[in-house]
This record gives sequence, C-alpha cells and structure tokens, in this order.
Amino acid sequence: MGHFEATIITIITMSSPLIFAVIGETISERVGIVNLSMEGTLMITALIGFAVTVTTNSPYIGIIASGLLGGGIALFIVLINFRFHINQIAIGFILTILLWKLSSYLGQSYVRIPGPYLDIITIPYLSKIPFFGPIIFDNNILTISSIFLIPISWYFLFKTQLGITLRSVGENPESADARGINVRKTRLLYATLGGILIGIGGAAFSLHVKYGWSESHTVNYGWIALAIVIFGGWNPIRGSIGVYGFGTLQILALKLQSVTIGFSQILPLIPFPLMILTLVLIQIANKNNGIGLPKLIRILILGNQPQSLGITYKKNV
Amino acid sequence: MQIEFQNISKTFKSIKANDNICFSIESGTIHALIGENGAGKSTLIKILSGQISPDTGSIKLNGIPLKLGSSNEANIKGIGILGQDPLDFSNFTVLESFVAGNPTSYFIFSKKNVSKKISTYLTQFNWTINLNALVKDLSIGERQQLELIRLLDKGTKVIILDEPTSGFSLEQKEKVFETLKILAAKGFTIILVSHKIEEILEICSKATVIQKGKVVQSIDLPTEPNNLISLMFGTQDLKPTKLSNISAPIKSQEITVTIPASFNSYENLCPEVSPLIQIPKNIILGVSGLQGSGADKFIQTFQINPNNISLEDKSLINKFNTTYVPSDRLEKGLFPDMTIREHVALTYNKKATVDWNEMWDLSEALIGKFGIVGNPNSIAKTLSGGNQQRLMLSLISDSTELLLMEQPTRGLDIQSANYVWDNLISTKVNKVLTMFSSTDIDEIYEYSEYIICFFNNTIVAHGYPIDLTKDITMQKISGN
Amino acid sequence: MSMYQNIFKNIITVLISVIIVTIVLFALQASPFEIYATLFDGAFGNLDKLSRTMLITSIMALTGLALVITFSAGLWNIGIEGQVLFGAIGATFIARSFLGNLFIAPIIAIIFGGISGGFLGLLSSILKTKFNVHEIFGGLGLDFLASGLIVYLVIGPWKREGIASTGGTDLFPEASWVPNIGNYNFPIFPILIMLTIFILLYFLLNRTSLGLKLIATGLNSNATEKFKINSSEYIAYAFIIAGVVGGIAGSIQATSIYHKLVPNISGGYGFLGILIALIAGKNLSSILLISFVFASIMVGGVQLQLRLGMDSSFPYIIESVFVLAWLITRASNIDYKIANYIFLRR
Repeated sequence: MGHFEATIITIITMSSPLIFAVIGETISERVGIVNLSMEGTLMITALIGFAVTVTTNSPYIGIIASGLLGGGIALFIVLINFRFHINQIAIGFILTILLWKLSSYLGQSYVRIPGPYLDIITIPYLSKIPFFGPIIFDNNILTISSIFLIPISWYFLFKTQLGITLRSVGENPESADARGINVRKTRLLYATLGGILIGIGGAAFSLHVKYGWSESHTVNYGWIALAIVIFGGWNPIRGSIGVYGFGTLQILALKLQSVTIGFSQILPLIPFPLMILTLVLIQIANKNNGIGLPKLIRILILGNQPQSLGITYKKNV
Repeated sequence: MQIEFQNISKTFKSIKANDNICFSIESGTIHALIGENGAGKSTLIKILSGQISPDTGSIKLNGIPLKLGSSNEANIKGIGILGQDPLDFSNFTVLESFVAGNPTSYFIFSKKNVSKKISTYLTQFNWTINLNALVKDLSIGERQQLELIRLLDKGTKVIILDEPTSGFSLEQKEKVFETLKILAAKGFTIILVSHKIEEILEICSKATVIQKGKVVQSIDLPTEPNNLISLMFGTQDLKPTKLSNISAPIKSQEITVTIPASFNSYENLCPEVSPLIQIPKNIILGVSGLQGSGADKFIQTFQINPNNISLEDKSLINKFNTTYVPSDRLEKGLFPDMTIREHVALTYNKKATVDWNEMWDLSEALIGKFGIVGNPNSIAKTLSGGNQQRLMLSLISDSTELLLMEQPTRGLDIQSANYVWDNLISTKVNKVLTMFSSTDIDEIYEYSEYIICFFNNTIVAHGYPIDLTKDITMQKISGN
Repeated sequence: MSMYQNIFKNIITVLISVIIVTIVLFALQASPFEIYATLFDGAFGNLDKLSRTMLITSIMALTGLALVITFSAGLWNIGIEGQVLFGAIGATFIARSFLGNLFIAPIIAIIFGGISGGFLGLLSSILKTKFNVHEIFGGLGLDFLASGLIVYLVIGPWKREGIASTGGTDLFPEASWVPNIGNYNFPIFPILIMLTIFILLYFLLNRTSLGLKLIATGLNSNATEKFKINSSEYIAYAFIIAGVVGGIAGSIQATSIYHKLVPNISGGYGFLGILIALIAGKNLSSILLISFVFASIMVGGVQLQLRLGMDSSFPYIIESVFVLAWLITRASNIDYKIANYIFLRR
C-alpha cells in the first residue's frame, strides 16, 4: 500500500467522529433544533463510551451507551424547550459547560489508561479492491459505518417521504402543521436521532481515533462540527466534504509540525471564517437568486438555512 | 357534499363574531360568502375548517354532524381551505412542496410519479406550471393553483377559497374559474369568500351575505349587480357625529399627490386616471376600497416615500413630520409590553436623556386629553381597542404634517369611533394632509373632502364627493 | 407583586436551585456541605482571598453587564469571549508600546482595550445586519478568530526573545500594571471600574433615549418602524457598547492579573458571563450580586483543589447546574406559587 493510500485511510478514519457529529447535527438542524451543547456532548459521550467499554470489556456496548447518552441529552434539550419555553440556545449553552466539566471530573479515573478498542474488520474479497478496498472493507466498524452514513443520510433527507416531512418542519412549521404533520413529535424524534449520532461520534473519538481518554481529548471539536454543518449548507454530502477537508488539514498540520509550530494551533480555527464566509455568500447569493454567480459556485454555495432554526414554535390555539 | 350551518354562534371577548348563523350550501355548487371585514366570515370559515370551535351550533355534512374544533377531523371529512397565503414551503421544489404532509408513496419520493400526477391535473385544467422550479420562484397565482391541485389530490370535497384571486393574472383567473365550474359539475362543493362582484356573478350560483355576525340574506345568482351591492353595503345606522365635516368644497390645487406607478397600471384598465392628483391643503382625504383592494398598501407607501406628496409652496414633507397609524394596533403600532409612559417618551422625548417625571406628567396630560382609560404605567396590551386607538392618537405629535391612518375606526365601539373623528376633524387644519383608508363607505362619505377609489390594487376613480357620488364609488370599488 | 413578594420569590428560587445543586453533588459522590464550607473559606477565608474574590467579581460583572446590554436589545452575544480577548490584545499593544512606560499607561491600556473590544462587537453587528449572519455563529467565529490571533501574536510578532512558545509574551513594564492597594492586594481599581461602568450602563438603559430605543428594538416588534427606530442602528450600538465593556474586562485581565498576553487570557469569563446573564435577564442590578456569588465559587474552588483534592471542574458544575435549575424553576412558576401561598397565608 502506497504512502498516499495510507494517508487517505488515515484521514477517513480520523474523520469518522466528526462525520457522525456533523451528520447528526445536520439532521437536527434540518428539523429546526440547534443542539448547541455539542461541545459538551461530544466530550461526555467520548468518556462514557470509553468508560463503559473498559467496564464491560466490549466496545460495542460502549458505542451503544454513548449513542443513548447523546440521544438523551438532545431529548432533554427539546423537552425542556417544549415544556418550559426556555430557549434552546440557553439550554444548549449551559449544557456545554456542564457536560464538559462533568466529563473532566468523571473522567479522572479513566485518564490515560489503556482500554479495549475497536477491532479492524476485514471483509475477505472486497478488501482487496484497489484503493477503495482497504478504506471501506478493512477498517473498524465505526469508520465503515461513517462512510455508508453519508449517502444513506443524504438519500434519506432528500429522496424519501420521511425526509421531506422532516425538512418541512424545519422550513415552515406552520405549513407543516396545517398539513397535519405533528411538529412536536417530528422535532423530538429527529433531534434525538441527531443526538444519538453525535453520541456515536463521541464514542468514535475514544474508541479508535484517540484511544482512551484525557481531558482535552475532543476539545473544540463540538464547535468545529457546528461550523461545518453550516459550511456544508445543511447537506450531509457537503458537510462530509468539509469534514474530510478539515481532516486533511489536520494531517498536514501534523506533518508540518516540525516546520512551524503555529499551524497546528491555528488549524482548529480555520472552519470558522469559512463558516462565516459561507453564510455571507449564501446571503449574497440569495439576494440575487444566484444570478451573476458562476454556475459551479452556485451549486457549491446555495443552500438555505432551515427557516425555523432555533425559533420556538408555539402552536396557535 | 351538502353543508348545513345550524345556529352557529361564537363570541370573542365582548364581540359576537357569529350570531346564530343558519344557512345551507347545496352540493355541487359554487356558493359565495360575502361581507365586510369584521362581519364574521373568517370566523365562520375557521369553524368549518376546524381551526376554532363555536360556542353553540352545529354543522351537518350531508346530514351527518361534523365534529367541530378539530382541523384533523375537518381534513378527514374532506374540507380544505385555499387562502391568500398558500401554506407551502418556499425553499422546496414544487414536487417536494406538493408531497410534504401528503405522502404519495410510503417511503421513497419518486419525482417521476409526482410529476406525472401533477401534470395530469395541469392538463385537465389547462394550466401551466414549471414543475422544476423552486416554490419561491413561482408567482402567487401559480402557488395557489398548486395548492388547489394538492387539495384535490388529497380528496378534498369541500373547497373553501378565501379571497383567492388577488394573486392571479387575468389568464390564470379565467382558467381557474373554468376549473371551478368543472369541479362543481362533478359534485364538489365550493365556497368562495370574496368581495369582487364581477367574479361572484360570473361563477357563483348562490350568495350568502353576512353582516355584523348575522346572516342578512341568501340570494340566488345571477341577479342584478345593484341588488348584490346594496345587500353588501346595506343600510347602516348613521353614526351620530358631533362635528360635521361637510363643508363647501374649495377646489384648489396646493398639493400634488404623485401616484406610485404600481397603483396606476393593471393591464391598462384605467388609462383615464391621471397619475397626479391635485387637491387643497389641510383636508381629509379618504381612500375607499374593500379589504385587500390595495387601499391600505397605498397609505403605507407614503410612510416609505413621503416625498410623493409635494406642495406648491415647496415646503417639505419627509419621514420626520409624517406619522403613520397602522390598523394592526398591537402588531405594528404599539409595543405590547411597554407602558404608556414609555410610548410617550419614545414619541415626544427629543433630548438625549429621558426625564421620567416629565414623561409622567406629559402622559397624564395626554391621558386626560384623549380620555384614555389607564394610567402612565398601564401596559399597552392591557388596554382595550378603543383605548389603544386613543393612545395612538395621542402619540401624533403636533409637528406632524402628513397623517396616515389605516382603518381608523376598525373594531371600535361607537363612542371611541366618534372620538377619533372629532379629533381628526379638529386637528386637520394643523396638518398639510390627513389621509385615511376605510372599507366603510359611509365613513368615507361622512368625513372625506376628497376621495380615491381602489379596486384590485389600482386606483379606479378619484374626485371630490360632489362629483364622485356614493353610488359611483360603490360600483367602482366592486369592480364595475 | 409587591417588592417584598418579589424578593421572597427570588429567595425561593435560590433555595430550590441550591437544593438541586446539592442533590447533584450527592449524586456525584461529593459531600455538598463540606464543599460549601470549603468554598466559603476559599473565597472569604482571609483578606488575600477576599481581594481575589473581589477582583474576579469585577471581571465577571463586567462581562455580565455587557451581556445584559445585548440581551436587552434582543441579541445573543456569544461573541463576548472574543471581545474580552480583543480587549486583552489591545491592552497588550499599549503596554508593549512606548506608552507602556508612562505613569498613566494602565489607563490608556484599559481604554484602548475597550475600543478593541468594541471593534469586535461592531464586526458582529455588521455580520448580522448587513449579511444576515446569526450573531451566535458570527460570534463563535469571531471568538475563535480572536483566539487564533492571540496565538499568532504570542508565537509570532510578540514572542519572547529567543523563545517562541505559547507560554505568553514578555511581562509588561511595571508601569502598565494596574496597582492594587495595601498588603492584601485589594483590587481597588477594577472594583471602581466595575462600579463606574455599572452606573453608566444603568443610566444608559434607564435614563437615555438611546437606552429606551435599544430596549424597544429588543422587543422584536414591528412597531419599531412606526416609531422611526432603525433596528440596525440600535443593534450596532448594543454590540459596540457590550464589546467595549467586554474589552475592558479583558484589558483588566491583562494588566491586573497576568501582566502579559497569554492564550485563553479571558479565563472563560466571557462564557461564564453568559451564565450570569441568563439569570439576570435584562436586569442590570442583579448582575453585581450574582457575579459576586459566582466569583466566590470560582475563587473558593481553588481551595477545593488544595484542601479536598477535588477536581477543578466543580465550581463550573455547581454554577451551571445552578443556572439550569434557576431557569427551570422560574419557568415552571413553582417559585411564584410557593411565594404566593406563603404570603397569602400570613
């Protein structure tokens, strides 16, 4: 296997946690719910995934635990928002700090101890396919799942009836309601689903990307994921491109570390100006309806923010 | 499906929106529901579609009672509304917007199938819509056509059209009307809520007129247009006024009002209306038109562009000496959670700092002068409609040169309405121009010294009351 | 509700929230009362500690006050962290310049820090009003930009002689240090600054036309047009003022605590300010008290580490649970019902 191939595999493998996180949050935001607690959720699900794995000696149970926790956190946010009309952003923000610091505390006994990690699964014939084989079929289960998640989630969102229902709630809850769609239930369901995916992303951090646990394990990844969701125009495929792009930059930073110490520091910051730039470009493009921009850029940029993002929907009695 | 309304009544706070409404609509007909804004039509429609439940009464569909108060139930029984605001999804494609909430298949969304289905309808009705477009790129008319198809596809048997045609082009309208006739012939029941006499006469077989929550009469169509018009406007009790505004008209031309082009061209229907209106100063100008006719929009343009009004002596009207009083008082005219004193401060305090004691005194003075029931700490949303309007009047500063009032007495009791007019009449001389819009023709003729008539977003006539009589106005604003 | 009922209601909310925090501490297998006692001692145990508490109070209060201004205008100023950081950058700039040796250097540094913070606030405002970028995402982006800028400065143009590390810049010249008073380092100047800003902001919100219009803008009503209030203008004012105040907090961090520029010099006080502001809402006065409480918890938290060997995350856990409990208690109206019940029975 050539050096180049090995690098690609590394990038894809290293990016799997963010793939789960970004796609999970994309689904959640498409239904109109912002899960601002992502930074904290990723940390605590990474911890719980690892801790449960160590305790039960099974990474699979660890993954399930993380997923459930992630879903539970998202569910909490949505329920508190529905029941008490407290802003999603407020709850999300408080949880970021709480979960982050909780994971610090609870993780103390797990810091830097080795634990079981995900095995590599090798599928006999398929893994011999040049180039794609080793990436997809000779890897751990989470990375493989993350790769398949991309087209599946895209198809789900844009080509299925359920996906349209989901998106309609995020676009215009009033119209969705008038059409008989249960806005609350839909939001609950998909925000929780998004949370589960985010939780699995957390597990992916501690179970194969950076084995084990330490406090600054996943630091800033939550914020980065939020930025990439926007940069990806709320589209799983574009979001994944963003994730892999970021992964590439990470590898570059590692390789260049001996040359400049600065780059690895600056690296985590790059998604943010890109996110802002994307939002600005979307605004400009939408103003002219895309007229005047070269077609390629239009396809790349045009993406619309789910109109009801973050706004509490109060059903008129 | 035959619909029978039996003793439907609904009261909101102290207003009887529907008062013992009884009438029936035959299956396979297009039935018009006519009445002024506030007459109770929308309440009745909302009850029929299950959005609200009545206090008393029942509705029978083909003899079977309909479970009221549930929009789901209404949906199931085949009742659908098409309103002025098509509840669709602007960022979706046409096909996506069509299936949202209306699954055509269980799991996969097949563009081909949906496309075919919509095309069938389009061919059947002889309509054209670009199926590859985004919803937001369609015209309102096309969006409503799409909604109509969607309702039909869902199995809607009773279609309520709530003022639907304002978005249609002439061509679209003709096609839609053809479709409605075909549907009626097939047994669909269509309820058309409209003000447009022409259209009502064109396709409806019966009309029910509602006024002040009560059914005035149900009348078979076609009939003499004048019959319908006089039914619509009815004889209203003359409101007792303290100050009469009728004076000998002095026809001078100190003000020139430039009509924005958007109100002056609608497929060249009214080429004889000149784009400039010249009138005397210090008068009250009434803009007459039915709901949605564009009268209110016309008034709003002067808030944005006051320099469409120019004076002979070249003095300036600008944003700072223009005051706009919207008809949606709590939504656009006041801050619902702020106190009277804060509103007064926002209007009258010209310094960088706010002296709240001064504002208290000023508020008390205004409360006294305008007869507002409340104190400076009263919060706007707790005031009654009449008091809110009085508050709005009190916030018209003396330096106002151009006063724009949308529907000044909408929803007000007689006492408050009189108060408003007393105030407007007595202050008109301090202003260059007072402009108001109203759906009430009597109000227009009682107080206007010059009248502009609106129909379908176009100015169809204007003149002094002596020249432009009430009868002509009634015809003009109904589209004759 | 009368004023007494209101105070009573607040007390009940605090009580319920403390109970919830206590329960959570139990669940974490930490002994709450020992923790509370240690916190108290850590914050007020001697005059040195009290000074420290007062210093942190002033910084947290500043960020909290800044956030009340933006909340009043209806905005989520998540960019506050960046504004604080920029304030520190600005102060560092002055300290490292020829001005840094003047007697009045701290004053200039703090003023310039404020201006720098205000600049960042203005950026948030432009992103929102001109480009429709939601202030949360714009703010987050600017936070990270500010973070990155500090890292760049610290290992680049402002690096220490011969060493390029992220440990920070050289120490500021002594003249730029904000002096403290007496043997116990009482932070007289930060406190004075906090009080002055509080008075100024109070005056702004409650007695000026600008404040009134800012509050009106925050009510998200369509009436702003009728009253001739240009929302974009007042959003800009809110962001700039908040940025200035945040920047001042950052410059105090730089000139009074660290005396140099280090990465994460904000100490997270921007984000903690958001927690405080979530309780205070649009009410400026409560910020002072809440900041004092939160600062005591943060400073007392050091003692938790030293004496009880506990993790440094406890103060944060306590604070965030408290805020969450407070918000839920308030929203569920339980406090109102209990206060009413008790009051009516008497």
